[in-house]
Amino acid sequence: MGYIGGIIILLCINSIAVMGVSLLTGFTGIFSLGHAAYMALGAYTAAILTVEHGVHWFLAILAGGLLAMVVAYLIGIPTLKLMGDYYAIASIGLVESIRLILENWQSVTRGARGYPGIEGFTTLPVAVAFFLVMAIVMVNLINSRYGRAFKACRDDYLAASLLGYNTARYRVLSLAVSGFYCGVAGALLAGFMSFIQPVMFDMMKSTELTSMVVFGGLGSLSGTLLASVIITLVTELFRPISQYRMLIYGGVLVAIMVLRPEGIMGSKELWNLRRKR
Amino acid sequence: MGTLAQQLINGISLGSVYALIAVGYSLVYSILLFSNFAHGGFLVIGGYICYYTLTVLGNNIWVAGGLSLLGAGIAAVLTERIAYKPIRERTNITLYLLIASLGMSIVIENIFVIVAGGRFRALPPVIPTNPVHLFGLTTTSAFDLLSLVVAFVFLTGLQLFIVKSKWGLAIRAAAFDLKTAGLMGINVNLLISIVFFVAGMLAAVGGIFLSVRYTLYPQLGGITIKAFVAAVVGGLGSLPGAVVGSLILGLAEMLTAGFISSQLRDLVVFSLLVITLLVKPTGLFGKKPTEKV
Amino acid sequence: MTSVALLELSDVSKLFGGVKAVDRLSFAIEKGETLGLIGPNGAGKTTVFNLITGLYPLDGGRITFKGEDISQMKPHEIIPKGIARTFQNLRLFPRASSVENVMTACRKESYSFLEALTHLGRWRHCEQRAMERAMELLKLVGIADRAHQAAGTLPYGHQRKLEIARALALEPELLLLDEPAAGMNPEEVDELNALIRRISQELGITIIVIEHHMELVMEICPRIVCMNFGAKIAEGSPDEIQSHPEVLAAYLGEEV
Repeated sequence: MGYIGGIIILLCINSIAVMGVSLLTGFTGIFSLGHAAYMALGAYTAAILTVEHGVHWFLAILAGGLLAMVVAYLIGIPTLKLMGDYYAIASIGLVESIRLILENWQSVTRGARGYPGIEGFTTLPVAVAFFLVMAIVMVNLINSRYGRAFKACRDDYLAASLLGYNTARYRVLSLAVSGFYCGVAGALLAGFMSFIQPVMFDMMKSTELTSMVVFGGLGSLSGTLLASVIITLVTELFRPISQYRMLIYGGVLVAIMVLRPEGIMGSKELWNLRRKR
Repeated sequence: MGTLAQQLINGISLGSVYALIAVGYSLVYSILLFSNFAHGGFLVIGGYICYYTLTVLGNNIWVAGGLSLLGAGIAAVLTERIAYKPIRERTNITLYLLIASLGMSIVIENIFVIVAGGRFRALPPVIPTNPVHLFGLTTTSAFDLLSLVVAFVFLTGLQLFIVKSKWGLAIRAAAFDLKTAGLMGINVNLLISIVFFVAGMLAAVGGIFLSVRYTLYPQLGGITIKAFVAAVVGGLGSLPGAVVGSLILGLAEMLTAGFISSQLRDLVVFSLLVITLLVKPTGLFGKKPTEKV
Repeated sequence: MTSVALLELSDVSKLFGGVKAVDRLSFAIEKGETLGLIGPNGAGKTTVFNLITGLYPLDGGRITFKGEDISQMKPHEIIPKGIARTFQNLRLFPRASSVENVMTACRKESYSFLEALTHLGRWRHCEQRAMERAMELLKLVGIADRAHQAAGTLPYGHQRKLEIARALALEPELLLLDEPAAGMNPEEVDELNALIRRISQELGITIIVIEHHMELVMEICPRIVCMNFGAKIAEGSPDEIQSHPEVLAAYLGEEV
């Protein structure tokens, strides 16, 4: 039970984060590499609140998500006005900046050595419960007028604005929600590993998440979750050759873009596959 | 006074190396309108070829330099042909190119992690780093002066190429409108290959100097994020902008490191990015891309 | 005759670099009218639509809609006031189905973020209502049989009709149609003719049509404005326009 249980918990955590990324990149079309920063914010918030202030873990997790969401929102307002590449670069800058702050603000975060002794509150039921609830909420959001708005911003932001959509507002909203999801995932990670380090939340982490979304299909939530399962399992199975892991990620990203940019599921959902045309 | 002058020279020297990288990156952006995240990979390739040539074939910097420029240029062209060409021929969604470039940057970096190992390597000391006294006012290292001069030479060469040569004219036309340039008879694929070759070459020069300054390791390519910031500050797609942005960045970094704190230098870089994005997102010289409705 | 025009352009100008895309253009349209906007390629007609809908800032002059100055507003501020448009080069959401495309424009059936997250409250009712309205519009334009097909895979004529349906979903008072008949065969043009009449008469929507298809314009537009080089060169009934020397010169060259 222990080993498999651990894998399932990890799967739930990754899946929550990746759903956030799916919303941002897959459904709203914003390419970003900032996810690790939001996970870091969630993780450290939860860690500090539970260890130093005796806050109950449930509230700490929510607080982590909320902090990440607020930061995402504040950052999004000025930066999401810009399209594509500008934002991507800004998001890399964000991850690096947050990692630097975490490493250097030793009094609060204990620096690069990491933050140990976090209560192991992320048990199997907790992880699964969070995953299920957040998955349902995400599916609901996408199947609503907001989902249509996000997709419109992705597919043709000009046409979207000429349908009366304030595209900047929807993009920021998407980023904020995605930040919340990554923050919660980070908090759950802190409660699972009981130890967090700034280096756990670097560009590699962001890239992992992005590659899961790309692999699963930009615009398919079920594809994203499927990819998350596959990639998490493969990573665990191939732990012995983990030095090749990043090389394979990179290769997969390129291969998918060249051969099958729509990923596994394209923009279809597993649960819609049998709908009549 | 002496320290200020020192840091100024340091800053300009560092900035000029950034400029080499930023210019190549901005050049690609001006033609293909996407941010090539793999650009850092070319830098690393340049550094490693130089290192291996120096250690294996002897300490001739000209040979090592030449091979490394050539190698990085070829690698850049190959990257374009393998990863970007098939995508850009099928679709004009730049998101796919962005993701592919991210993938290529990871592939290149990790090839070196596996092949060369993660160790920090110092280049054999062929580039002089001894102190030089300037006009009795201050001391700087020969290295700083040399990198400044070399960068200047290459950038001037690039400028001449772009302004005076036939292909330079083609590049300027393509930067204005790629499709029309193609319709005017320019071989677009060849043009793009040339642009990537030049970008790779410039990145390699930058890579060599950065390897001496910071030692060589596979993740050195990560430093290109600063070149990206410089290019954004100067205006994506503008070559003079990339140079100006790089100099500003180099100066800001060195002055911060020298007078405030070494830890904060990177934060200053990203603050510059944030300020630019807030105040004038198109940068100092950038043009706003207008879409025809 | 009532004097408050629905939309009024006064001395509107737009420059791109040194080129006068729109040159001190003035005209007005009354509620309920169907106005034609014609002129050779490059005359600035689509630019006029872009200016009305706020895509470009004006370089001179003023645009008022229902008496309100909308010259400096952004698209997302202007559209909700009651203006909708279609595009010369089609701007559908290709991956979404026809019905989803139209539903994206069903802004009136609104509910809160919380209701969206939980699918409680008004969600079900509003989504149903939006779906119904979208299907009605698809029926109106004649493509209801392809409601769930991805818009990018539709035949060209259907795509043009879908764009009109989507624009209508905004429940506009003013509809701007940019070359709606482009690329259509004669049968489809007849259908379009009937559709535009229905939109005007049954839905009471004021329409401005940019078109090169002269027969269509002359038939459905009681009043026409003709542009060339960004300026208005003629305004009047189809008969007046057809015999106007400057119009003929613009289209056929100087020799008349």
